[in-house]
Amino acid sequence: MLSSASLLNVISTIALSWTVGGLQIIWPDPPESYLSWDGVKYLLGGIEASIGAGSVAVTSLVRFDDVLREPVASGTAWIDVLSVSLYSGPKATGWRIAPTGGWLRQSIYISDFSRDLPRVEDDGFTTIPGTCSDAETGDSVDCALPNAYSLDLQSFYGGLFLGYDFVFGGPNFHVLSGAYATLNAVEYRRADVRLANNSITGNELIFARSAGLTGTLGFALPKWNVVARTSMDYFFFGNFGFGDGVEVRGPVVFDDEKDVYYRPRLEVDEARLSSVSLKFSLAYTF
Amino acid sequence: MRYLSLRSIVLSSLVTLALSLGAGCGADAQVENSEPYEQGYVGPITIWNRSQFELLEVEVSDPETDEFAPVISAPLGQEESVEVWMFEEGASVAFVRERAEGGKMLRVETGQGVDVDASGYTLIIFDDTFRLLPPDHEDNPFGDLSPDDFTEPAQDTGDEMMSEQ
Repeated sequence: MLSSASLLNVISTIALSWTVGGLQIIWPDPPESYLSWDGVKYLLGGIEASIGAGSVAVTSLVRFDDVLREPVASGTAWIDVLSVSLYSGPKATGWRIAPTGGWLRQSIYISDFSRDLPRVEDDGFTTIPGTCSDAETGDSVDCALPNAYSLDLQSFYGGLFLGYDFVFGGPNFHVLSGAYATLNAVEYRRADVRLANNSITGNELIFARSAGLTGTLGFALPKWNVVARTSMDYFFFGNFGFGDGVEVRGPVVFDDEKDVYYRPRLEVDEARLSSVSLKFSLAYTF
Repeated sequence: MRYLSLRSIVLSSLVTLALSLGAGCGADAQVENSEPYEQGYVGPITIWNRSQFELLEVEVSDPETDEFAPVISAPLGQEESVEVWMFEEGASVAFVRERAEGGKMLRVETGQGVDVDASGYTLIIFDDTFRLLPPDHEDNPFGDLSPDDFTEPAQDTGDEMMSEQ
């Protein structure tokens, strides 16, 4: 069986033999000492701004007895991503482990989940359905219309990433590709939740609560220290706290005493997110 | 001249006759369209909030005019009830609550008139539906209301219907 090192050697050999017109594999050119300013710059990589969009799966969690977190609703939503971070893209071919850090903002518009309530058979009483309207405008609305929330999640993070880069090109133009695994070791998170007239903000400092996988492809202009690339990210964010609870309607339950089906009002304290996003980035490398 | 006068008399008589007939027909039509309003049963009913929400407004309509009037002067909490003493058969009931905590206000109205024909009915309000319990239903804890239960509401209730929380 071919080991990963042998496979990489084969790929490198093929790529090397493929060089045309001065194109060649770019190998690392590490500084003499990592404890120098050049070493620090080499490790930090550069500074990068990204915008992107994608899909996020959100699971709303309710805390019972201050301990147990119970998922009560889940669904997917569109996500807008904006980030400013240390450059963590490819610079040369080979394995790399390096620090990562930055600011990430994710804007999500999500609603809780509409469910039809079963009707109890009339047993000597008469059920009268209600018709619903907006009390302020008088416009007719669906009684089961889900509540819509706007989540604005920000994370200032620092961590490590590990990955393999493959870079080739000439002196003025490099083609970049790479794949990484990232762990955000420490994060300061801020969550703004807006619901109609109400706004809730939560802040928290957490450790090792998000991680992700990234694949990237782009190009660099080495003489200009500029990199442009596109990345596909999968990231998991465990338990984004909201500060105060946000009301959602839970799963349908039957109340024996009242003899009625209903959806209990629940206070969601936090959400768990996993997002897949496509980002476009522009970086200045050190 | 005499001929002309005679002709004017005949013409004016014909016009008068035509106008009278027209007015008569119009009057008949008016009588047919203004059928007098027939008031249904009027009596006490209990409105019981069994929803998960505090009701900020509860209103009952006048079946003749379809206009709503409030029956509470303060929010009606969960499991609280209000007695409406002059509830008319066929009236509609509406309430206003928050859609969610801090959210927009939702008005929920009975999709049909509430048919009561005796004292002691209870109208249960759930989150967005209603349930009408007859006076003798086992789930109706209020049952027939005696006028002795009624105390005059405060005078500053404005247009509110006679009710007691």
